[in-house]
Amino acid sequence: MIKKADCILIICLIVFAISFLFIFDLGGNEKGGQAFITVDGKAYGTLDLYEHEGETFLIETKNGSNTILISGGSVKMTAADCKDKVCIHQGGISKNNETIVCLPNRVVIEIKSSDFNEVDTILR
Amino acid sequence: MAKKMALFGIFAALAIVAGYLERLVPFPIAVPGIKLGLANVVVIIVMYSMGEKEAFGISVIRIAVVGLLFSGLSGIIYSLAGGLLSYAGMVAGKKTGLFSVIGVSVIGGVLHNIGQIGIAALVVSNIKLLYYVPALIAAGIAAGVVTGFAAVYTLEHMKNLKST
Repeated sequence: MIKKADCILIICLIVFAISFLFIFDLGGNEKGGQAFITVDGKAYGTLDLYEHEGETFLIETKNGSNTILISGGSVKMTAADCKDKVCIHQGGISKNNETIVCLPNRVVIEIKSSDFNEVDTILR
Repeated sequence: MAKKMALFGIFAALAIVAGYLERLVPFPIAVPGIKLGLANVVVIIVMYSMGEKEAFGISVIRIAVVGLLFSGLSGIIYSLAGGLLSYAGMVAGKKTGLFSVIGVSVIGGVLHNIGQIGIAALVVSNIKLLYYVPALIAAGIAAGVVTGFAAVYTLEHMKNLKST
């Protein structure tokens, strides 16, 4: 039922995915320290994940609003007025390059490492 | 002709239901608009039993109806990007004659996810979304294999249906 070409195709795809992982994963799996928020591709604000422990923020855009919560070095979307709520289901993010996206409101939250974090690493 | 119409209607309904059911399954790495692509099984069955044109029709009808019912116009754009890229890839894969139904299904599953993440990255103008591409390829392969087998078994039974 399965042809040889099918297997080759699947192997090629897996190899491509893994190599993509290496090329793109420059930040590695290290914890990021900041949440960088963009709306419609434009910078909206940056929040330090350690300074704002336990705080919630409202992001208001012309498309709608989203609420984010910062806790334990991670950020998650707790409320959104969009229909699909995909961003809420996604849960918390804390590692470099991870993103939460609310497509209807065009809000992107991405994790970046902060200076605080780099200093911390050097000290250790 | 009438029989063909009826069959087309049944498949369209099936594809819409599959599209709805899919929405109920939470995707482990939630990226906007990304689904497992299980509705693709109907498109593949139609592609192999009725033809490529019919499969295109089913695909577009499903996306339009499911989109209008559950996610609104913006959702349709992402689904359409995934659906059309997936369809084009599957037709190309089928035409080469190299792949079985399962290989074609894997192409469809992977391209479906790539198309949607590509449009999503364009809409929010953020290339960082491509961070999820490897995971989406893996998910596409898994979903493609599952839908491929489902299509193969269904197609076998449909042969019996035709002869009676």
